[in-house]
Amino acid sequence: MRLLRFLVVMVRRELRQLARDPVALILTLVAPVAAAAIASAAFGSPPRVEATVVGVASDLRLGDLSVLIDMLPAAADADGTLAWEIVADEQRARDMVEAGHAEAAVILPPIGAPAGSPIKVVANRNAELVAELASSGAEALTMRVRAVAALEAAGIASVPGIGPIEVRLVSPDREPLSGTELYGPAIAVFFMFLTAGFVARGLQEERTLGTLGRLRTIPIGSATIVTAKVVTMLIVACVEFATVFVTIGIFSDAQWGNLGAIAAVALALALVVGALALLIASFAATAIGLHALEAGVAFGFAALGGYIVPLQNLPDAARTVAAALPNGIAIGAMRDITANDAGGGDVTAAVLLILVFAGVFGGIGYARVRRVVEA
Amino acid sequence: MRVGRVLTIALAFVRRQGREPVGVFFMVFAPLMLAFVFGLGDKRANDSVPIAIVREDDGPLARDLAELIDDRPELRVRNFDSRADVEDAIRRSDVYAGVVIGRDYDERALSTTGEPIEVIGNQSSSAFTAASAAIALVVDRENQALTMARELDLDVDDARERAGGPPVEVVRITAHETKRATGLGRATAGMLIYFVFDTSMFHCSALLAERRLGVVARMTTTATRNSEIVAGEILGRLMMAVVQIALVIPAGILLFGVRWGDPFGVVAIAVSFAIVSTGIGVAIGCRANTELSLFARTGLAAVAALLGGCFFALSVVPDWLRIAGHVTPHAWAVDGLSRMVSTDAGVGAIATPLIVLMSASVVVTALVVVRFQRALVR
Repeated sequence: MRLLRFLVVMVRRELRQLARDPVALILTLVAPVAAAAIASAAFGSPPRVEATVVGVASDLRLGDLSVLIDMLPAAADADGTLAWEIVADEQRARDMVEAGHAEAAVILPPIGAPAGSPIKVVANRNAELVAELASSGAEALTMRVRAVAALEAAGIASVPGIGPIEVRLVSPDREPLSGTELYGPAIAVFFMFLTAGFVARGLQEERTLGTLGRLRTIPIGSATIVTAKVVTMLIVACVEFATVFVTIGIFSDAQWGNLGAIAAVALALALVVGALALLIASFAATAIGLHALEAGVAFGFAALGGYIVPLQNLPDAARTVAAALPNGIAIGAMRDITANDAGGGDVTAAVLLILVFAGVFGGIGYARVRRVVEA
Repeated sequence: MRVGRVLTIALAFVRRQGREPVGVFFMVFAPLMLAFVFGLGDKRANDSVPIAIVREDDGPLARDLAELIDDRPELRVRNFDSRADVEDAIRRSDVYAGVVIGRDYDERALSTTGEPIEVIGNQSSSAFTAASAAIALVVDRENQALTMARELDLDVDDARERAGGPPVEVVRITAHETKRATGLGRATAGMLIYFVFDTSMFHCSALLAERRLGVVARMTTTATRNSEIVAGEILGRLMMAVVQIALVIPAGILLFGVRWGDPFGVVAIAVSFAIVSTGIGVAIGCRANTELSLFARTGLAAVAALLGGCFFALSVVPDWLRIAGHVTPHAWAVDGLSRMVSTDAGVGAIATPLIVLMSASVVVTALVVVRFQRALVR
């Protein structure tokens, strides 16, 4: 009971100290919200593909070029995904690609060119997707011309463009998650990892100022001192996390799903961050080392399991790594809750797994940091 | 101002920081490691579109079509077991399109009645449009082969071979201009800028410690002028930033093959940014009173980096955000470096970001020397 009273007093003291610096407090709460909004805008929607392709053909081959342009009907319909421009010669096409006015140019060999002359694609090396699309279109055109010629040689009239397979575009049953629904949790988790610095810096500062040593002269154990720091961090982390969710929920159309389940996942993850904070504090001997470790841990976890870089754009191994890290498990569980209306029962396994990480990191961290406090 | 004294103070700072192996690791390896992850993600996002395939028919023609789609470099294919799994992956944005090859595909592919394949996705997204166009082109080629096989009574493989022409010749060129810089070059530039700023921020801790211990105040009791102390503190931090730049730029060339472009332009942009961030770092170090207060500003540094396009190209965000991003010096520096790494443009092409950064470096340094001198030596 007495220990609990000490703990409450120390946590209140820590929080009061934090409140004395309103700028810091505001930054702590505003920064993740601002970052979530920016990241949602940047990563939240599928990448925009916008390109101009230049077609070059002599008058006699303009028909072929129009067949090629028609081969990309879906692209032509969308808002400027692939726009075509036709120019008279190869030099003009190259100039347009070099000047950045077009991403790729498809250059048809003139009529009368030797048989087997290939179609040429000149592309900006920063527009690989457009280069491959143009090249695929050129291959398809070549194949059409040769197929029609083979059929005509056999006396069979063919209708270009019509074949046995038809592509039918279908909308999904449910709308994809919005940018904020995808990246709000990822950013909230990243900033939660940054809050590990509260514990680590607090312990470091007290060690430097000698206040830790003075605290040890009163009858409280090192566990109480460390727990007070961790509890303060948990409160800050949870408030920060909730601020991101509530603010985004108010200012966007995000539907998070079962908030109780999200809170359970977030709390379990906050415990992992608290445990990591102890590990960081125990390893860092100086302020610079501390800064390097806390940023390294936050960015390391974010890069490998934090979905900060959209996982669909990384090699398959990245998905495996993310699924084995506590933040990856947490964000995956949150997306399940939002995307598939998963409830508390559905994320129990994820929460337990995250708690195992908290136990392991916390055990090692406490054993190490106790020596620092008692030194 | 005596240059010798300024240099002594600056070099003392550099020596002290150089003794910190974790700090040195953080300055050089962290930007490169993050550049690798962000660069790889950025490159793959711009080179290809992730799609899903479900093959409900296990026949050879269905397998062939799935393989032909899988072979396209502009598509990154993941195989799924059911349509429901594909819809779930689309909802989570794990893929932007899903191809469903139906149950009777093989039976109907060689008939005249035809067989539809479904491409599922959000039709208002340009990534879906690009993916469906790429799939449609593969299907178009397969249609030619299947029609030839049916009409000329050929084996489908023979028909594909007969219809196939000479390979398309693709020539990739470095343009003078580009709508968007991508890949490892852009990511390394972004991470260099972010970490130069972040290094300045973590040097605030050293400044806070010096102020607390009264080191700077005690220095003022010597014949060293206040302006020399401030200049020395700024120069020391700037030297560290220059060392960081000097290590990360060649490492980018060696590890990722980054083509930095005109060396004068790259160095001018990076050093101007380093002066601005050093000034901001010293200003914050003069104002902050606690480690926690400094720590809160670390989050602000991350937001400034996000806003300034260190983690992703600002061309992917809405216009209002791109304009807001240019409030930060990061955006100007990343603009300049991205242009150098992704085009063959010369220094003239980065005149605007260079002028903005140089002006900012003069203003910030002057402000720190005039306004924060008293706070530093107090």
